[in-house]
Amino acid sequence: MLTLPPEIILSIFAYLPLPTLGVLPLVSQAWHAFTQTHATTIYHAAALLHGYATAIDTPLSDAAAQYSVRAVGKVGNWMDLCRKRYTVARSWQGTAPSKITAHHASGTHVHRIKVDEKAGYVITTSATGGLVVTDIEKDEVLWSLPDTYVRPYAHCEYGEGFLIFDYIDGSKEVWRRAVDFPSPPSTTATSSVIPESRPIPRQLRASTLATLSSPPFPFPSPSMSTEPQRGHFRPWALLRAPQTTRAFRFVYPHLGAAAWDAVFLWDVRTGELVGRVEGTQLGSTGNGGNEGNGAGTGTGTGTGDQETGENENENENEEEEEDGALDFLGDINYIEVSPKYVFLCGIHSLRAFEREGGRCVMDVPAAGWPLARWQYGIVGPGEKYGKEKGRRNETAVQEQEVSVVEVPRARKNIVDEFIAVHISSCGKHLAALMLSSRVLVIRDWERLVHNVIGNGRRNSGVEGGGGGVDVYDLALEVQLGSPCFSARYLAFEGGRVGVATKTGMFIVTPDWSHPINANANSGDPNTNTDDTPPPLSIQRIPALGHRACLGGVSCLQMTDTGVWVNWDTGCLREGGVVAGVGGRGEEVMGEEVGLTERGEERREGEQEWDGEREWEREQERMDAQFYASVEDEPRYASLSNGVYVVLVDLNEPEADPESSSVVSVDFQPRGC
Amino acid sequence: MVLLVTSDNEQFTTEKDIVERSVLIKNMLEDVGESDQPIPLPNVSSSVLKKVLEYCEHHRGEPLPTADSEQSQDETRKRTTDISEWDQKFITVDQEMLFEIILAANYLDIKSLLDVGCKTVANMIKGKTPEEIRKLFNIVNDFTPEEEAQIKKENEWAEDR
Repeated sequence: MLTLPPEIILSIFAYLPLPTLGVLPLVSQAWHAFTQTHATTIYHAAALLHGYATAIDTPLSDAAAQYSVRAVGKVGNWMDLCRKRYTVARSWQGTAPSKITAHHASGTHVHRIKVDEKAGYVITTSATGGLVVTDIEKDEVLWSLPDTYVRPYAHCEYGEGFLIFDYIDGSKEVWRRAVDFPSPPSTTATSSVIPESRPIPRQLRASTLATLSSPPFPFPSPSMSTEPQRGHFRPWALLRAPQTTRAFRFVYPHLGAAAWDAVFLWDVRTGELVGRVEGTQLGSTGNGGNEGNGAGTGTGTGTGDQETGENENENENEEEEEDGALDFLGDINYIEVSPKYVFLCGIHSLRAFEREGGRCVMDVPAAGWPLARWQYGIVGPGEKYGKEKGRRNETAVQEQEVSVVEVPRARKNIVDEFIAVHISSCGKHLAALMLSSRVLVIRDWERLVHNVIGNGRRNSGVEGGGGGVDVYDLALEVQLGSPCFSARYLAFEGGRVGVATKTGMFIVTPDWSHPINANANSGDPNTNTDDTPPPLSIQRIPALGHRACLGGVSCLQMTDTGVWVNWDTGCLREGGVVAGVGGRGEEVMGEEVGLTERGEERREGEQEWDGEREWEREQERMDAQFYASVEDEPRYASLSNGVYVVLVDLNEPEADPESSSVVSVDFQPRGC
Repeated sequence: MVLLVTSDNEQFTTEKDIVERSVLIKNMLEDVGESDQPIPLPNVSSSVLKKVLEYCEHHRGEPLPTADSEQSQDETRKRTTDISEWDQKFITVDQEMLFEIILAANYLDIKSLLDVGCKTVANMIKGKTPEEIRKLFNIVNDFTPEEEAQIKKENEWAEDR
């Protein structure tokens, strides 16, 4: 084959993925020499193939600059970039090393975590108040606001250098990275912000104090007055919602805040209120905008064409549709924002609204019909890795063996609750978390937009021109750990869904390229006749397996190379991946067990204590407990109207957040 | 009508819009203008030209890639090594013929055919072990075990698991 002209060989190699490229030099001396000579061309093509560079004329430096220093370090050539990116991907799968790190500088009682991996800092709020910005690598404080300023349990959002948290009066404080302020720096140079949203004196005072009490020391630093410091923030705006809001979410440049029956949207760059959606509780599905809460002219698709007519509940459906109104959304658990839509998790339903016009375009009730055709669950540790004990010391994740069953499309009056929803960065997919530790992944969710009424409830058939698919067709449902213990937190980043439940910490990765097999009769050209469940991998983080610590998880974030969570570092063997508390089981939060993150040190003097073995034993105990819990049957309470309500966390004591620090699971390649 | 003469001196008569999928011939025809002169193809044998013309005839009328679309071609290339059903059948030939078609497509400048050929070879290699690739192309392993171990180590990061 090497008799072909080199440029042809190189165009052949341009189609080969990295694992095959790694094999070519092993074929013969001549192949080895060829791949060495043409390494730049070969690995440039591979970078394009794997999406590490977006265009053929993207220079290496630009391609590398997409990623954090933590992820790629200094990139010498295309092969180096490929090696580092591929290693990160393998690391997430558990086939390259990963480790667990505690970040102590953020302090304890950590409540919310935000991470800017590229800028290299972690932002946390706390159960006792205050906000801290710390350096990821050096684990030291860069800047902070005191507990007298930031309320306990403040929620915190971050993006593109804008930091937003709620002040005790419910207003939203917007602070901006000091280095991003227009120069010359001046505390009032916020001219792009409209007057009524400009920072008020209390913010400016807090800013001055925060700068004084933050590094660089010694004070007064000569550079302090002029040079903006890394990790420092300054007040940018103060946003006041027209109504009391319950949840907010920032996706640059828009901040969305949800009140009981409305959503408000600001552009944080200007501090302007740029949009509102009203009547979210009953959700108007008509095209007429906001008027008439859920007067529900319908969308023309909800005309009872339930062609399969499976059961006697059909009449009931018809009734529901005739008045067109949706059920109450209920208390708002979560809000998500995308450029076109706003998503709300109410306790009864998951809804999407168009930002323009406010029409409700998706409604997935938490009760009624099964939510997805394919239901995945964990069976045990994966064949490949689960049984190899040696791997534990190399990787923090462990692939799980996954089962999948097809759920019949039949009415099921079980009430669960949506507690969080996130949209993928490409805007195509949704991941929603339910109280009973289930994740609902809705691929290509916009196909539901034309078909609002009864998205989650019934087969909407082929009429209406909207593709005729419902949630059941598009969604995958994944049970993560015991359904009897509640879910804690959801993250969705880079095609991976991160979930903390009270029984475990998971990373779910669906195969997004698998064709969606919606109704074969939907007439949709995208429909594929392939009728198999999409492959899906589930990784578990065994070392983060303590029930009590899991119960205390109040935040989970994902970045390119890490999972970030608040965790009791006393239950952690840092660096390694085996966690434990010397066999003390559930009492980990108790004071008598104050193991440091380096178990050995603390036990000095007790000669007979074998730290390694204790950690091992503890890990085995936790694993056994986890795999026993995946066999739990959901528990229900029956209501008088024939509806079953899922029961979670029976007799489970609430966790104490006291010793919660920031802990990261790191998927970065060595030497970065 | 265009007259082509192969390396083994066989003559092929074909239609202009078929043979113009070859940018080389297209340019030649433009340079020469209307003429009954046969076009010599000293790098292409009759058996290969037969295959190439079969390909061109099947794809006649399809738009030719322009310089503008080159860039986007490069970008779509990364997505797929999929080959259409007809092309797949067409390119199912022995290895020698496959390479000859690739060389001819390269010489005649028929980009789409060259792509099909390259993808086919890539698909043959993809996912194979070094030993399987040696077998595929009749290559002898000329490494010492030490060399082999060293190279294996250098490329360990790209292993599939």
